Amino acid sequence: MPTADHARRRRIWRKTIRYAVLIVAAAVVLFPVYITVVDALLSPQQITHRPPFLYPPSPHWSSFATAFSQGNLGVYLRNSAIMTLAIVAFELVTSVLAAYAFVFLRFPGRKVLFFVTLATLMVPGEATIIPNYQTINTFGLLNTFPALILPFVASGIGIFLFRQAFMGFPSEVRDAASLDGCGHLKFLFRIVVPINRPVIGAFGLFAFLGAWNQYLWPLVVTQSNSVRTVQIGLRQLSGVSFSQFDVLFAGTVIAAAPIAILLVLFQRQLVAGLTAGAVKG
Amino acid sequence: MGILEWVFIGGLRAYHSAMGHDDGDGIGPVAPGGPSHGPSFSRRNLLKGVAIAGVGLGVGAGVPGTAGAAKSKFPIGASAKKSTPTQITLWHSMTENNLTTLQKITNAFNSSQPHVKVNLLNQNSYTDTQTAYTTALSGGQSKLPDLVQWESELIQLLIDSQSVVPVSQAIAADHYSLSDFVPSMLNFFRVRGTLWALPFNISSQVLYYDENALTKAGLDPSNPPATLTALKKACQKIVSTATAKYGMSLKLDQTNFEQWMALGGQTLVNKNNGRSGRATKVTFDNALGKYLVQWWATMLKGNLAQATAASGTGGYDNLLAIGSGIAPITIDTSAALGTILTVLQSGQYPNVKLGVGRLPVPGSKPNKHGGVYVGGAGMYIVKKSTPATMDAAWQFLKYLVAPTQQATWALGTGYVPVRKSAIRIPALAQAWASVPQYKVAYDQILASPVNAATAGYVTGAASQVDTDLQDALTAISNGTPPNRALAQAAASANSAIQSYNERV
Repeated sequence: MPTADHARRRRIWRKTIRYAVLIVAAAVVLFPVYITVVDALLSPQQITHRPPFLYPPSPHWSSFATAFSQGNLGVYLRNSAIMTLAIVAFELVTSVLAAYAFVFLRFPGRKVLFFVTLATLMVPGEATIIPNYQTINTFGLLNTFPALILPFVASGIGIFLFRQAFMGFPSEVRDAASLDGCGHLKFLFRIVVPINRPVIGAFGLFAFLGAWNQYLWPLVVTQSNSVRTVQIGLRQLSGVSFSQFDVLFAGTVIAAAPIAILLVLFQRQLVAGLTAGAVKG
Repeated sequence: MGILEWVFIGGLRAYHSAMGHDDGDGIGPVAPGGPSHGPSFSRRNLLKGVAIAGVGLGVGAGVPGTAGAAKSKFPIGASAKKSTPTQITLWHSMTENNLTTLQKITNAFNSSQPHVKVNLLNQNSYTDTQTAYTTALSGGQSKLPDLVQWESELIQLLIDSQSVVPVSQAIAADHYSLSDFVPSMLNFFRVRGTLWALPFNISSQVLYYDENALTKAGLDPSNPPATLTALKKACQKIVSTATAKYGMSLKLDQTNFEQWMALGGQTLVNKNNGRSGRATKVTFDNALGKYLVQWWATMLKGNLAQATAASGTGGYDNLLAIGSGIAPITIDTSAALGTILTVLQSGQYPNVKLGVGRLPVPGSKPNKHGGVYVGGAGMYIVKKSTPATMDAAWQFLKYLVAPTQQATWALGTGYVPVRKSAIRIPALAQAWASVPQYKVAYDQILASPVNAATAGYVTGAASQVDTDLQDALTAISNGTPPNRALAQAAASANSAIQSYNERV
């Protein structure tokens, strides 16, 4: 069967090319990450050496300990974790509730409210810093964890994403459930949320990324190291000179590690969730 | 810089409205420093508000010598009258050795007297300090620090924020003498007759070169090029003798251009560099400016110089090029000297013998009205609501700039001392005797005459003007005709200055 054989060969070729392109792209993306890790393990002299070292000839791990102690990273990592987990939890709850209301409830002003929600996506974060600062200041919350968290307890993107996902839900199921005496909250948490887990998980990850990497807001609302976050600590390390480049790289690796681990663990869910949100609705 | 500047202006507006409302009706939380009085600090009521706070705006309050005219109300001695120590905060941008030294000096101050306790808050960089300060302004005076270390060239932004007390008020009230300060350093922080800050960490652009390479090219390393004409000749010799691939590295940094204008005795903006009135347009597109960009283009075109990045990961390329022997000369800030010496001591570049020279002057001979102006940062006293915190800030500031502390500071960081007598303090004198390279930047600043050109330029749009000049230098390195690049920079800078002036 020459035609089948031909087709098979063509498939193999196509696959080979596709993988070759992907491997090259992956190398381009991963190389800086790799070099960051390598540089953390080199001595400062080796880092400035030209041509550069592509692997550590004699890795020295002490830079990590130095980064941890000198950069005060223990406290900063804890603060970042508290802030990030709280933001993610709040954003998930508020987004799910709001999206549910937009899809399954009929109430006056529903459309207008939804457009207002969408409009918040158009405002760049930098523009809201001063009004947010004034609000937090008026509440007397400067230099506290609530100051880090409060402005981010709801997310326009989350509401939008979940609404699109929930809209693909057959309304017959909702009707059947309510006939059986299933209330809104029960329906939401027993049926809607479990079915949409991929989208919710993916959004949770993105919320985590965004919160963890925040810099400007934490900088302006904190005034003591006891509530400052790891990105600020990293910036403090990056002020170091030549003689401590290895410490800076080690700090970067430490600060990026939680995100890298999460991405590896939830990569499948991330991709599935995104496409789910994109095509439904 | 556009966004930050925008935010800053936004901050000013928000600040004025906040002072008129939030603080006025007492909703705002009370800071440790005490409640703010003064019902309204809106622009319209500024003078009234200032009078209530007992601060005095200080326009026209001169420095000693000219002082006496305006009777200042700066609350000298207020912190010592209190039974409990006054807590104050300094926002700074110092890291590593600089931070360690600052912390050491601060600890010594805290334990030296019972009245004032200083807390340091690291804001990471001058830019971040600016952002944090701007945002805090919108929350009212009580959210600001008591002292702020602020990048020298952004002085006008801080003046326009109306949130700092000129140090000349404290100086007049305290009968504090400025005679021991390096005159050209004070010159920088004086705008329209008012001294706004005291210089703290000061640096200057200097010439770095490898003495061995110069010897090899048949040049005298003990007599480095002192003019741009001589520098060009030296580079030609380095290239023609095949000593190195390039004569030198030119960082794409507008600071060099700006310093050369000052060395040539010319201003960068009108109104005497913004010192006698608010600058309305640039003057750097004059004959000297055209000469400088032409020189720049000639150096790059003939491979006499390689262009390297001004900042970021490539920011050290000009220094590394000395180490690797690609280009044995460069110009950079004197603040980098400590780092360079550390790297050289590590033994990585055994063939390099570092020489440091003054920044070469434009043309073929020095201009007697010309001189460098300072880089680095000054310390500003923030207008706070209580006399005790303002006085405490002044007491600490005096300590920071005293000769002993300035000697410690210079030793620990590589910045140059702001006091003339500091260099006679044994520890510093000995260190400079053994590493004479450190003294070059100091001598150069000390030699600078006091006039408008060497004061440096002042405009609220300084960061935009810098960006425009830097874009011009980059464009020239990419082949744009120098005069056209300079004209573009002037046009763009003019509109930036105009739009800033309209918004203030």
